[in-house]
Amino acid sequence: MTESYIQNIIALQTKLYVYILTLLADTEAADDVLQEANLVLLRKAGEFAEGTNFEAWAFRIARVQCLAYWKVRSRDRLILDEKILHGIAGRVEPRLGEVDARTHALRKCLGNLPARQRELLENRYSTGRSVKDIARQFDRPEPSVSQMLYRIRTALLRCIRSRLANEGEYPQ
Amino acid sequence: MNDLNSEPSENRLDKLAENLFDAHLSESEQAELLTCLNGDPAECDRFVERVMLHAILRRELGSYRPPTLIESLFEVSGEAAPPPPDPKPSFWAGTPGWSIGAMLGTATTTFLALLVFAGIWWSKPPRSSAPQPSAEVAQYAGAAAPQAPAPFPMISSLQVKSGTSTLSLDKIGTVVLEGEADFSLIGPMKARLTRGSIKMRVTQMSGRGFEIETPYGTVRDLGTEFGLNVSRSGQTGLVVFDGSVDLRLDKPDRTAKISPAERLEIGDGVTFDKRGRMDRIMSIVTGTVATFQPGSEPQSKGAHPVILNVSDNLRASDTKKYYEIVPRGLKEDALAYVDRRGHEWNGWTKSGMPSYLRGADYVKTFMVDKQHDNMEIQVTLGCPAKLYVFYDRRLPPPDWLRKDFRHTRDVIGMDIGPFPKSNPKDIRLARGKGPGKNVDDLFIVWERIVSEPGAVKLGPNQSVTDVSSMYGIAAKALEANSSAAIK
Repeated sequence: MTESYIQNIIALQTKLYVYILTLLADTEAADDVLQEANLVLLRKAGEFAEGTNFEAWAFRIARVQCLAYWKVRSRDRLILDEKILHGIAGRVEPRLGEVDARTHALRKCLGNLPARQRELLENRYSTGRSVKDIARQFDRPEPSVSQMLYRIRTALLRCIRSRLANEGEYPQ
Repeated sequence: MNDLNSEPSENRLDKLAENLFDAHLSESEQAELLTCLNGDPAECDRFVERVMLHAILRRELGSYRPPTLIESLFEVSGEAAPPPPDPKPSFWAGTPGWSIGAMLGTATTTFLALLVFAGIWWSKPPRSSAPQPSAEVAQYAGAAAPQAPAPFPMISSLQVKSGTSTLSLDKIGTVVLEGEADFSLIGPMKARLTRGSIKMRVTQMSGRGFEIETPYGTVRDLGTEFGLNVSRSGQTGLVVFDGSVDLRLDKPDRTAKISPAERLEIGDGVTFDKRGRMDRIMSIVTGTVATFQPGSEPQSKGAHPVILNVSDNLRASDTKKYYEIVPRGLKEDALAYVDRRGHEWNGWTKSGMPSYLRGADYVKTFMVDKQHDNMEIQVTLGCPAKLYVFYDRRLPPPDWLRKDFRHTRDVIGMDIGPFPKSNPKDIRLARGKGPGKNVDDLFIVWERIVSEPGAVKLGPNQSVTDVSSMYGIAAKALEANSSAAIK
């Protein structure tokens, strides 16, 4: 296993997570399946042909893991039709190339976020607190916290779109 | 970023995405979502865009889990892997134990007993604590499921100093015992503390999930450093120095709506007792003791503390964070906050921090409540002293600071390190050692001469921007000999 192989895996973590979370629609399962996919990637390091497309290789392994998840969960019958899963996967993969540009744009957008909203996001993402915990901390109803998170994310999405459009990196 | 003022138009897919990120989707919602994604390419794009944002926020703001990969490396290398962390505080299955009834009177005899029992455990069948990939997953992946052996708490070393002893548990971590601690190992991944103070640091991945029973609750490590202090009455203090733990109360006080299981994060501290009540620990003292002691207790003989206690007006329901008083602890690379593992005080230039600050008593405050508008902190001084506040220079100084303190025109730097759960490989969060290296932010040193021992009130931080930090507190005795201080 080469150092560059490990670096490739590390660099791909966010894309793999997006890919898996989209195919599973379950955050806890996505963490577990990402773990499984990493495991398989490490075990199969010797099978990867240097110079070929690592991302395609990794997504293929992740897709198999997602299928395995659905199969295990459905106890011998697939809840999700395999064709549907492949269909969604085929739509997700081309979008993942945007992750780096979106990360760059998001950093700038976060810098413009009002302090209160940034604090709420940090509570949710930095400390990993649940909406319930945050609601208790700020003495607010849970739906109110959820709605505020939704608004913040939506505002960030708009900001990212705007920045990417201005930089000519995002098709409107 | 004023888009929040307008009501966003939320469609069904957005709603499902939000539920996915912050709550949990039911099976029918999952099916609805996936069908929706398969049907309309534009909807699929819209959803993927949200998932990307969520994933990037996770990574950028810190809750991305690099251990995922690290755990995999452990498994592939054939080393014991840790049990997976519970998704939420929950009752965990009790470990079938090898019970020992005798309570051990001193730390020394405890260790002798530990050595004996460690030998017994070696002959026991291993308990598999490694996550086992399901056969079906492995089959799909084309990989064999590894059978990792369970880690045993073999005692690999023992250091005894005056009043403290450090026990190294093989493939788990270290336990520091202070004074007459009744501490005994009762299973491969379980110990019991019935009295005294300990500080445990789990250093190995295979040690995650280690449990310590106390008289009225059990603490489960989730990869961390934490301290426990059990008093003669059985009332127990728990503080988390790093990472997180789960606390399960044996008999939670349901009339007070106490949750039976609670996840505590870095910087959290609570007490719990036989009535099942849980209260916040307001402050602790470290540095002069090997573990910690509650700030409300008299400090050890000969300590001559300048800062006796710290408290605030936040309700226990607001926060579980504690203040950490470190007598004579201010120096280069001293940690600044209880809830940030890598934020350090440092001199701005290579000449170091102002000389009068070196060796001062200081308080680790907590960052998470930097924007509480009505926060009031009370610092109790044990002798006449110079009280210092390090205030973020990006913020306008608040009235209480300008009124009661003097601007020294000196600054102290902060070297910002990793946030909780952030990627340790993130080079943007690299720390420098010593003064003048990797200093990210500057704090103005404000000074107040307090001529009488007693309580001094400080106001809120008044952060008005997202990029600002909570202030720091330090104090130094006005006279070299502060033996006449309040005890």
